[in-house]
Amino acid sequence: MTGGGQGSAPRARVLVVTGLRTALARPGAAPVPLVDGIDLTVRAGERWAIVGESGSGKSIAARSVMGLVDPPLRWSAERIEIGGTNLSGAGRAEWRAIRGHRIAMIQQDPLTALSPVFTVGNQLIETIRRNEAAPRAARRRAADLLRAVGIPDPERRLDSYPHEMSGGMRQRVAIALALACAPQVLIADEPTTALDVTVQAQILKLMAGLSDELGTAIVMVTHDIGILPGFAHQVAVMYGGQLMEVGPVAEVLAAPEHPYTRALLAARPGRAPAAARRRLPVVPGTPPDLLSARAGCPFAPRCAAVLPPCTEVRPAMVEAGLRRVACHAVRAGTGALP
Amino acid sequence: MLLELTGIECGFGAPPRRVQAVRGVDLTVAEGETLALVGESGSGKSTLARVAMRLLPPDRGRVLYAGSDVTDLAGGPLRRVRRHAQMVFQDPFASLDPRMTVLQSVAEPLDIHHLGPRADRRDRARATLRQVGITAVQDGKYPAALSGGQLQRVAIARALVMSPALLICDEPVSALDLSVQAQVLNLLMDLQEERRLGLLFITHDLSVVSEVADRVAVMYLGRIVETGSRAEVLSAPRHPYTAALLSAAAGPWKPATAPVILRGEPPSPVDPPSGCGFRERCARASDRCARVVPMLSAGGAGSQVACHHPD
Repeated sequence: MTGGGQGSAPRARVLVVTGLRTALARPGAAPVPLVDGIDLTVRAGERWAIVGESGSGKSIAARSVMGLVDPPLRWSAERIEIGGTNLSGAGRAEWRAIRGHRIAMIQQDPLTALSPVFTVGNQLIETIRRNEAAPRAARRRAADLLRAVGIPDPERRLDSYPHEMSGGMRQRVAIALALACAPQVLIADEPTTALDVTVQAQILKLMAGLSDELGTAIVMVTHDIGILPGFAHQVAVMYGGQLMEVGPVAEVLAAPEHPYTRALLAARPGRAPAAARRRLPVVPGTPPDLLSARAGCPFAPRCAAVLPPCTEVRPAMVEAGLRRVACHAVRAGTGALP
Repeated sequence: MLLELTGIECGFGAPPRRVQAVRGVDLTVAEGETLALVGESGSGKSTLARVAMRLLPPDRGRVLYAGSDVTDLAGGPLRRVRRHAQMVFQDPFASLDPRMTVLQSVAEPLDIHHLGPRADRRDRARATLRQVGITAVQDGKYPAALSGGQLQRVAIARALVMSPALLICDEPVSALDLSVQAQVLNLLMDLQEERRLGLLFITHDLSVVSEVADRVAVMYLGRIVETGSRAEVLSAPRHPYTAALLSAAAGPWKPATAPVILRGEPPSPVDPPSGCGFRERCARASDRCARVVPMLSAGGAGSQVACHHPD
């Protein structure tokens, strides 16, 4: 895999987020932090994966980056920059000028992105015509987009309704719709989770190909570590609303540093088919209860390498080479304990 | 043989929109054995499980429990044999009654089947809950207060409290987070070995199969296309569909080969292609594949493949 900002000249930063926080406001109680201070810098053409389990805050982080959280959720960021435009404190109108143009989103269920009462062509053309006024040219571009996402017979398919298509085809349409205004950043929230594995492989290949070709950066939110190696350049591992470890995919998978990343990778099923049946290494305990107050590292209660400060002081993100890790044990050099 | 299915065909609806979900399947599960039934959505694997549980009547074919034919049983006799086969479903939130406590849910099947003296049933339920790792504190909790992994343990306890010989698990860990998935898989393997359970494990995930299965059967569009031991099927798949599934699956064991990306999507069971159900997506398809349905035929030791052009 090439690209991913590893070339000689650093590519433009298309998404910069620092200190992103999203919390659930509760009447008469302290807000519940769901995303608790994360930093991310995405360069043109890079493919990122934000990996986490349910409740880790990964989807809410993605929606917050799009400015798409509504009360009772509240979000804030020290800095948020999309395609060079600073959006800290931006109003609705400024966001609307950015969303769909500079940054677009695809979701797990393409039916949430598509209207059931309009044809696929209608929806694509409506989006395209925000930039391109001529109806005929817009229709041509819509057909081109469907062709680009691998839909056979695109001219005819423009007149289909979403319900007339399979799940895989609908996700292709959702991708075409997201790419209609040539965004610099595409946020994809579990885009292949609802699809069969053989179709999932097709969609991932399509997305990677399009990002190579168009230079679109992709930030994919997923629970599935298995799809990382062939797809993402960079991975950010999230737990309890915080980033645990960030770095190049190949490096993190080959030599995970954070105890959570290590436990997660060890718990993956899939061993040599001829080997004797074994028991899988287990991450003890259960995912954090978001409603209960906590201090320190969110993984501390389940961590095998836990140290005294872990339950009290939140570990700072420490940069070493291309990797960033937030862990007291790694910092103290005791992170390699069982 | 604990479970024996022969020539099962099962469909839904009336022509012309009839869905032929299972199209002639033979399958066995022995005591203490785990058979992994692998397939994607629409392959008919869940329908087959329901036929095996006698929850759905097959259109054709026989269902045998421990050698006796239960295909045509109904009412009391069916209920009596059914307790020997229990099922665990994918979504534990949907399979437990939200208004019953954990203990009530696990004791309920004992009441329904009048198993043991009434006074002992709660104790038996408690003992089973301890076995799956649910603590006494959680006995009185309602499903809403438990996590997905804990609920799946309760669902497993509810199945095991009946002391079944056969356990059918339909995607039991697909809804669980990775860190919890390993706990539940280990639990299933422990319980199975302790109790010599026959386990029919339905999944789309070959990396899970590589952990739990003794034998594997791969389904596509209502038919078994390949079956054999775990090592045979996963290390040397002979059907092109198995090879593609393996390529799409993730796992540390995965051979370093270029990914096989299939064209197209699984065909509709309402309007299946002639001949081999896989041929429209298959790189090896020939004229013969469009004309003749390939039958399962023996390969190596006990392995079988239904393909005109196998590896």
